[in-house]
Amino acid sequence: MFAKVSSLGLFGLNAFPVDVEIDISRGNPQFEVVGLPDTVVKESRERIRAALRSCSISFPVASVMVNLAPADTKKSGSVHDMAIFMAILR
Amino acid sequence: MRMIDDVLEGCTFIGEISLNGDIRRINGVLPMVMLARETGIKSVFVPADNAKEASVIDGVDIYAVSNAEELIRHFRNEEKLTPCEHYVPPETAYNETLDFSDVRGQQSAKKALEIAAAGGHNALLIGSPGSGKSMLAKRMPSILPPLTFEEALETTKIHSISGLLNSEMPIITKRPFRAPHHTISSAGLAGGGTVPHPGEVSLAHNGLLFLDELAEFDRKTLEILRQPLEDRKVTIARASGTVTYPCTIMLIGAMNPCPCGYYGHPKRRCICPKNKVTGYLSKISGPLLDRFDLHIEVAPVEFGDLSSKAKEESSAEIRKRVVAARAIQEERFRGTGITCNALITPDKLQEFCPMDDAAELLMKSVFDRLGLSARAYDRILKVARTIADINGSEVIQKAHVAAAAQFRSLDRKYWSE
Repeated sequence: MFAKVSSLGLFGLNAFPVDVEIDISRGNPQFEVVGLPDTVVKESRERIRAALRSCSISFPVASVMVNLAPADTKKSGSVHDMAIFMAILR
Repeated sequence: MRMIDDVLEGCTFIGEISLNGDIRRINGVLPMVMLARETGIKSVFVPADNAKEASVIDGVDIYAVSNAEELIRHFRNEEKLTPCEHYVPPETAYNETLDFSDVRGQQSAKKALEIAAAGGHNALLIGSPGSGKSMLAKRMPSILPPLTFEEALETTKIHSISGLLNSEMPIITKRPFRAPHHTISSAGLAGGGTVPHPGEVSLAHNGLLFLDELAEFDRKTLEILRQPLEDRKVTIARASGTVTYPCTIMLIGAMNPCPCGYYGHPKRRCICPKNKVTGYLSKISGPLLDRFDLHIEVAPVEFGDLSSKAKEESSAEIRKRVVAARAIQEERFRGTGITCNALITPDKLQEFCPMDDAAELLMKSVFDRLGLSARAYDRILKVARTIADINGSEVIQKAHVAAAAQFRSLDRKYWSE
């Protein structure tokens, strides 16, 4: 299952649009973020897992793949947390 | 998962989520929301803490979210969030605690700083310890003209990405005054880092950068200022990419003339050997010195001034003249993108700085006698323009040129021996 949610990134003074794409499919349960994320973005997995639980929503037992497009631009910071969260809910 | 059915078309989400589902504030919301408006996004969901900053931008619906539950309820159509009202920053009341009336005497230095504020010129204050250099410079914010909305947005963008805003101060409404300590590094001053951050020069954009104890700064760090002072922007190239930050600043420097501080003092004797004095002064290179339009000698305060009961002129009165001079400039530069005299581009110099014959003659003799650089000539002309504006004169007269040129004479006293 595929979903797309839009977010925004920042480099220097310039913002750029980021599409948070998500694919939830059957397979080994895992949660991956790709699209040149830095450590902070990678760690958002743990924050989102916990945040979902606190909203009494269990994390999907499936292979969850998140892509931050454009995939060749570095993403940094915790800005995308909310968009990834929304993408999972879709 | 289909926990929500609502379409997310035209919505964008920015914010950090904490483990318990709270949405935390992030940096750089203003430039991001500006982009959202440009790209035609209708709704932006931001952390509640950033909502005011975001709603400065008109034309997009800003939704303030304080926790994830709210977000879910909104999209399940259980409890809709309402868009924030467009935030119009309140007119900042003029309230400066430091006032020029606190400074006794120093009339000529005050006049020079008034000219600096009126035209956006760089100024260098030189004087013995305790003469009031820092005291004068710290009172500069009280006479600076107000920020225009466009300028405020530009400055706020830089403060936004640096994480210097909070919900009480969502937008910068006052010209910034930055006074970094002299131990500052190059990256701290000009900006830098793996993902380049703005430095002090950019944080002072549209405001004032005050470098106290100028000669104590690392020489290499100071030289970094050269190009940003001319170009009004800093371009930082790192492996991760190249970033350009604007830095239209007024630079105010303050320094002693020698290590002991009393070189050139009318009453006290300087105890520094000659080579120490030269060494101390040579920390400020010629090219950097050339970029200071006004060299101001802050003489020691006379006892008469200190004990005098006479009331000194207040900042509010000085500011009135500064604002009036800025209004003339605004009228003159309408549609050119120039905001003050210091920013006149070389091609526009002739057009905006007409001199009468006597002034031109004086300018020529000053140029020849002082051996000025082309840049110094331009800068004297711009200062003369500002002095003419303060005096309400359309054409630059001889007296204006004379006054402007006199502010370039200090380097002869200290640096040419």
